[in-house]
Amino acid sequence: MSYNLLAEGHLDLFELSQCASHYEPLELFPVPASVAITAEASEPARMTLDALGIAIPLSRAGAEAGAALRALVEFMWTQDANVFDLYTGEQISTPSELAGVLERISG
Amino acid sequence: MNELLERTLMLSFDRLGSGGQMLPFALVAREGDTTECLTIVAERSDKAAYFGRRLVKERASTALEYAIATDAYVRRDGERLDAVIVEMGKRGEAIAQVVAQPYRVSDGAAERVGAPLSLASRPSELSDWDPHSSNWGAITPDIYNDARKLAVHIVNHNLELDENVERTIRFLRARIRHHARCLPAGSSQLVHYDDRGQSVTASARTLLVTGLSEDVEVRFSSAGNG
Repeated sequence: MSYNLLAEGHLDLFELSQCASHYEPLELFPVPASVAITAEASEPARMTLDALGIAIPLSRAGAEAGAALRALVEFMWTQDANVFDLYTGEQISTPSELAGVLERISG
Repeated sequence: MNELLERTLMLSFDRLGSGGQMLPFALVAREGDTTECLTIVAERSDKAAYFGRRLVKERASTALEYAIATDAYVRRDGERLDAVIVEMGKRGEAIAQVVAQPYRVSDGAAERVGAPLSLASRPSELSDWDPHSSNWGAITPDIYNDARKLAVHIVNHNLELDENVERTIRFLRARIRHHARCLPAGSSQLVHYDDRGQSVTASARTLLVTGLSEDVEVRFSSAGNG
């Protein structure tokens, strides 16, 4: 199993791919903008933002992965990205919320 | 020097000369010898090139070449220099070039300092670059069954709100595509939603299945098959 997050924003996916190796214990992949998925067929089509998928395989969870995740999320914040914890469904927007995620991963 | 680069720099220096500040802009040359000049509106200067690329992308079907100009700085021999940064791409070429023209301002006028410096290359906005084609590093499937050549994604996400279902589907579509490039040939993928203890609506369950590609197997813990 992995602990998963999604960072959405005006992201330069090419630049991110160039620095993905800096966060190596994490599995990173692009989630390009697309037409939003909705249950209601009548809802007008809208485009999502580009996003970065972040998976922390539990087999690789530990101090190194925690440090990499902290660095990556803090970098995402500098890019005005919205980071979501897919386990809770909540946005991670403060250091204390990030600390909670890091605790769940290491715990 | 490339003609579009020279035009871009001339326009940049015209703008810098009239007050020392340059609003970022994009030039898009089209068939019929017409060129559109677009001012880039961005709340943050470091996002100007990003928004410029979006403007170009929107016009890619009719564009022959483009240039995006932003005002930043570069370091040369340890010295920080103000510079106009220009990204240029052409139809039919996969790669765009990024160059910097250092400048200095004296008596209200900006003047070039030396020749443009080559900074980097990146995918052109006039090409169909696939972000998945870059090297994003290793994958780690949650489970990989060698005998069945099956990679399994165990998904323990909050699925009770529509927006969380949407994010989950986007995440899984992209991760499945990412894994498909790296898994052994002939592998297939299975998504197992661990939805125990959650109230997931019927329409959300349908989306969680139909939102993924048809060749991806899907299971729910609540269905008793896992």
